[in-house]
Amino acid sequence: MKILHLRHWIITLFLILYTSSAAFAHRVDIFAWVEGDRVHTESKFSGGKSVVGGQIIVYDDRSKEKLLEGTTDDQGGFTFTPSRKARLRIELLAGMGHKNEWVVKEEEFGLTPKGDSGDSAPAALIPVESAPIQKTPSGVEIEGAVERILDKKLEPVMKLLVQSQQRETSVHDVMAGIGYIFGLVGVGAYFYSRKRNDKSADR
Amino acid sequence: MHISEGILSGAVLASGAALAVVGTGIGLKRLDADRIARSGILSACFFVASLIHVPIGPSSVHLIFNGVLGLLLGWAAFPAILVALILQAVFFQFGGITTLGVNTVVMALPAVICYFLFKNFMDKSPAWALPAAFAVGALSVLLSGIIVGLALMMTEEKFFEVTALVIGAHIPVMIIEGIVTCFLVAFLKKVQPDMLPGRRKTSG
Repeated sequence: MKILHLRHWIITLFLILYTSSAAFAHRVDIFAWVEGDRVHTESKFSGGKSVVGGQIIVYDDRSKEKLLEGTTDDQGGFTFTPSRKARLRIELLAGMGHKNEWVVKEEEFGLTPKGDSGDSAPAALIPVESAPIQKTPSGVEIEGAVERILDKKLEPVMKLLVQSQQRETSVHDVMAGIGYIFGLVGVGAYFYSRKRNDKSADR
Repeated sequence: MHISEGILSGAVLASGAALAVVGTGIGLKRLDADRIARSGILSACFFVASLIHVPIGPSSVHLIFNGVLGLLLGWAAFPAILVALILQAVFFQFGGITTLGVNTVVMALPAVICYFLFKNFMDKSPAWALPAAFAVGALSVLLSGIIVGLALMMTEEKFFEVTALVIGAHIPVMIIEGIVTCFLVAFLKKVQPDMLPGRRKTSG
């Protein structure tokens, strides 16, 4: 009876542990996106818990130069305006040996990797056509307005992307891992039994 | 408590790997038929325990169970933990491949230390064995925190700050693991006392 009780306790304890939190821990993820001139970042532990007070360091990925540093706020967010539009490497140090990074490519700032030549042709066309009418907004202004609106419209999409970026641990992973362990036990048992058979054959 | 890639210096990584190889070597030598199966089961336990997230405190921590592994496996905790860490790195992206050695030492060395400190208490009366079991669960996590602090200190951060942070974040884990270890030892003492160390041969 006593034993049965103990077993019940252990099972309940494990059940409580499992159900109290379906969240998984122990990896940090950082995700960054560009909105106009600014770069937003979001940092999370793999359980979905935000990284509060994590250190963020931004590097120019080409020149390896350190541009700026900051810490994440209560929601794990950190927003900055980079001094130059370049390929940025954003490093997150979440303490206790946790680290991850994210690269913002030039394209996200609306730049092509090798200079800005392709986009200028259509922009130049508009002022020529609209030259007689004074009030028509210039190509640059339209571009700016469209960019602002797009950024605003895309924000929820970016947020969604942030969430989908975080690869949750799936049951498949767990099962696969346990399968490997059992396989290794089999290998170990095989070699052990061979060793023993060799020994008994020698005698 | 998995240390990510790209944080530690090469020297720390190399010494961690060397220690892990030595420990794993000793552990593999001590494996017998009985321990192979047991190592596998406990390795699986350690592998899954890292998914049990403890939602208390500011940081993100999970159960470790290295004390249980040490208590039931002795030196064989090294290979068991190494295997589980490889799989955690591959499947969960916890830690990393280059930091495997350091992470193995972080988890397995306290396990072995606790084994040698407390194995002789296990066949004593519950009044001795249960507090010792709690100590195994809690102390192994505490020692792991200290080793993490040491490893990070060699690179950049300050030892006392980091260690205090790691240990502070793991206090709930220490308590839970102490209690779980208590239950486990009480259970095994009744059902399968041969599994506990100290009763039969004293060698690991």
